[in-house]
Amino acid sequence: MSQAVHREVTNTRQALGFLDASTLGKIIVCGPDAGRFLDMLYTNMMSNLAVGKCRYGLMCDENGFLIDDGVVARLDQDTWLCHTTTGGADHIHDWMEDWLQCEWWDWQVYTANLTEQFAQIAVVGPNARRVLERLGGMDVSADALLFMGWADGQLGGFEVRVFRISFSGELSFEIAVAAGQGQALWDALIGAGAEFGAMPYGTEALHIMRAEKGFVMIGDETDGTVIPQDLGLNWAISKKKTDYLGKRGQARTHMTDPERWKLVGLETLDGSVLADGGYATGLGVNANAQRVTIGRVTSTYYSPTLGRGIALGLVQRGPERMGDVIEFPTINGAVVKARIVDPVFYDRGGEKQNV
Amino acid sequence: MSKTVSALSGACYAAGLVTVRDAGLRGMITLRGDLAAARVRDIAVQIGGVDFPQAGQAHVSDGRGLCWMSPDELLILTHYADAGVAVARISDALAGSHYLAANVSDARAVLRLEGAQLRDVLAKLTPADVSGQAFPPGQIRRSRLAQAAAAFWMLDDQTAEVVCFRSVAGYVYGVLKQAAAPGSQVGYF
Repeated sequence: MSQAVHREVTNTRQALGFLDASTLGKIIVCGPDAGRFLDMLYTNMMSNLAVGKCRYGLMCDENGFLIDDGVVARLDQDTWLCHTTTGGADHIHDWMEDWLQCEWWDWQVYTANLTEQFAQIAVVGPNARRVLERLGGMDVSADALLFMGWADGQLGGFEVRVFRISFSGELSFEIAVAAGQGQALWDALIGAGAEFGAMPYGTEALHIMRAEKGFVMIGDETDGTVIPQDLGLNWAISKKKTDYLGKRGQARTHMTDPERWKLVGLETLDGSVLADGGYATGLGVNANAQRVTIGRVTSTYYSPTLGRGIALGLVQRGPERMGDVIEFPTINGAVVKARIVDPVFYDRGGEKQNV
Repeated sequence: MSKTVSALSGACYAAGLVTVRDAGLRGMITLRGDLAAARVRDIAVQIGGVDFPQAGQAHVSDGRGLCWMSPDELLILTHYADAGVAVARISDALAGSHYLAANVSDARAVLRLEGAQLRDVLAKLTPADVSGQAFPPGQIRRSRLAQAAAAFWMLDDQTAEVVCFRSVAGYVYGVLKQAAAPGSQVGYF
């Protein structure tokens, strides 16, 4: 099993991988007040996103805690397409309707959950553009379809919408097609991809590749107690907006406490893979006579790309402690030492996805 | 494009209390807007080919129709191949007003139930009141069938149509077959 996952990661990074991303939520939000509405739901600005472009966004609840993330595309002047996490599709649609029906009932916004209308296939890796050009029908060149852009067109005779977005760090296109055409497009990609070394990959490989890039996963790096600032996502929080859901919560003293556990990368000194959910210990005991903890592992994998264990974790004052070595006791009494490092393990400059 | 197949690929179960069958591809459009506005009602009636429904009603005839989904939402039924053009017609008709029209044909599966015991079969799976008095032909319910969201309406006293999401089509088909299993008569309605 692990060999298969590692093979998928390596093949995608070196040649070409296909992922069935159909389950990601796809919610249409439209109307004269849609931009204003999305500015309230996301921590960053969506109203000023240009038509034809995509932007990654974070959603928080009223207390400031992260509840969802995803890429938003602006389809036209009054219409946005919000991608949500798979598990968040129904919940976030309900969340939108709750605010529209109960709080901002006079705003002119309609939503529709189109998650199941489209199959979506991620075409990922250095050969991604080649296989799309082999199918042919629309211009997917670096000049025509910029990173974080989208375009409607045809590929291999299929009516598609192509998003140039990347959750792996590689050159990557996500292709949406009517769900009833999903299998046929997948088969066409497999056929056309053979000469480019295509191999399907699954969500475990997806997880490893996103962790290698330091991309967070809702439900791994978040657990209902984590705010964007904990994850170093301040760049995705608008300073200009007067309000958004969670803004006030994030200003409370506990949320701005410098002692909060924050996202870092973790590299074991011996190259091993840290235990998932493992706690890092500090000195002394707490009020309950329990060993003090100073952090925990949120994601941990063997990275076939780097040939060693990598992990993401939340550590007290973590970003201020780059290079420090902290200790993770294991169940059998041994202690694993790990160095605090930058959470981006692979291609920090983002050059691979931008070709 | 490849030949589109429905989620259930023509499945049919005829050995039970009612016949459960894949109703095939169906054009479906979600239309949200002001259901009191003449422009909205006119274009909906043109595409659905039936009278505009009151709250809680579904007017369906020969695979076309209009289903009331909420105070600001309609489900327009049409032939599968016509759905894309229908969305464009709606966009032309309602240009400049606040509305949402989306082709959801591929997001759904449609099943058909046929037989005298179909109210009993539905009642095993849904909390909705499906008695003849509460749920005559022409009414729609947005409810659940076992663990999945579903909407259904009666075409006549012995025929109902069920709409569910594509990803749960196999599940809904399976629970309907189970509820229709031979020997499981309830005889309540």
